[in-house]
Amino acid sequence: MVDTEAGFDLAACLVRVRQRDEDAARELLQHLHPLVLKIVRSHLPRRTSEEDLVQTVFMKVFAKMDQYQSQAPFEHWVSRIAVNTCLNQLENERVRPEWRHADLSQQELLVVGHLSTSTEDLAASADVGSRELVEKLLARLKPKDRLLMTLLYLEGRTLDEVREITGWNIALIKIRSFRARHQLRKDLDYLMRESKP
Amino acid sequence: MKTNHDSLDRLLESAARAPRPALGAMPAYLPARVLADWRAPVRDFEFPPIAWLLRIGLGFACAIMLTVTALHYQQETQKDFYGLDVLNPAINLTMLQ
Repeated sequence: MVDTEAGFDLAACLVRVRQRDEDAARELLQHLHPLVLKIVRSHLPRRTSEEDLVQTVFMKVFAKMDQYQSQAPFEHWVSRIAVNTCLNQLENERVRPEWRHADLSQQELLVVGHLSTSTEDLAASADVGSRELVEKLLARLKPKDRLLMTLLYLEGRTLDEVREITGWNIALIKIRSFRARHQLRKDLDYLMRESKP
Repeated sequence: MKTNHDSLDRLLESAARAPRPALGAMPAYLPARVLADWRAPVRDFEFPPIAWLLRIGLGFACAIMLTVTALHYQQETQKDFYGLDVLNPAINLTMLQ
C-alpha cells in the first residue's frame, strides 16, 4: 500500500493514526483530500457547502477509523463513507426543483435544440452546456437514483465499482438504473418537445 | 462524427466529457477542525436534544400512567372491602319502608 510517487506509506500511516499520532492524521488528511473533494463535488447537494461536507466526511472517517478492516482498500472504505454522507445530505433536502424550458440557459437550449433536430453526437463545444443540463435533469431524480446516474454515466464507473461504493447488489443497481433512465428520458423528451417550433 | 440515435445517451456522453474544475488545495482550517473533533472524548450516548426531550416525556407519561392505575386499583379494592359499592336502590327503598 505504498504510494511510491508521493513517497507516502498508507499502511504505516494508518498504524500511526490508530496510535493517535496527530502528525500521521494530518498526512492522512492531505493524502485523502483530493479523493474526498472529488466525490463530494460530484454528488454535492445544491444547498450544501462543499467545504462543510468534506469536513463532515473526514470527521466520520476518523471517528470510525477503528471499524476499518484491511480486507478492502482504505480508499474504497473512505469513498463509501463520502458517498453515503452525500446521499444522506441529498435525502435531507427533499426538494425536487421544478423548471421549464424557459429556465434553460442559452448553452442548454443549444444542446436541447441539437438533440431534437439531429441524430449526430454533440460537439465538444457543447459539453459544458450538456453537463449543466444533465445536472438539472439529475436534480429532479430521487437521491439514490441521482447518485447512481452520476456514478454510472458521468464518472463512468462499472457495475462492480458501484456495488462496492454503494453496497447495493447488482440486480438493484440495474433496476434503479432502468428506472432513473426512464425518468431522465421522459424529462428530456418533454424539453425536446417544448423546443420544437 | 458517429451517430447515436438515443438522445439521452448522447447527452450523457457529452456531459461526461465536460471539463471539471481543478481540485483546490486543502483549506488550512480543515486539519485543525477535524483533529479537534478526533481528539474530543467519545460520546457513547449522544442523542439530538429533541430526541432526549421525547424520551424524557415518554418516561414521565409512563410513570404517571402506572401511578394512576395503581391508585385506581387501590381505591377499587378498598370499596369492595367496605362494601360501599353494593348499594342497590331496591334494597334502599325496602329499608326506608
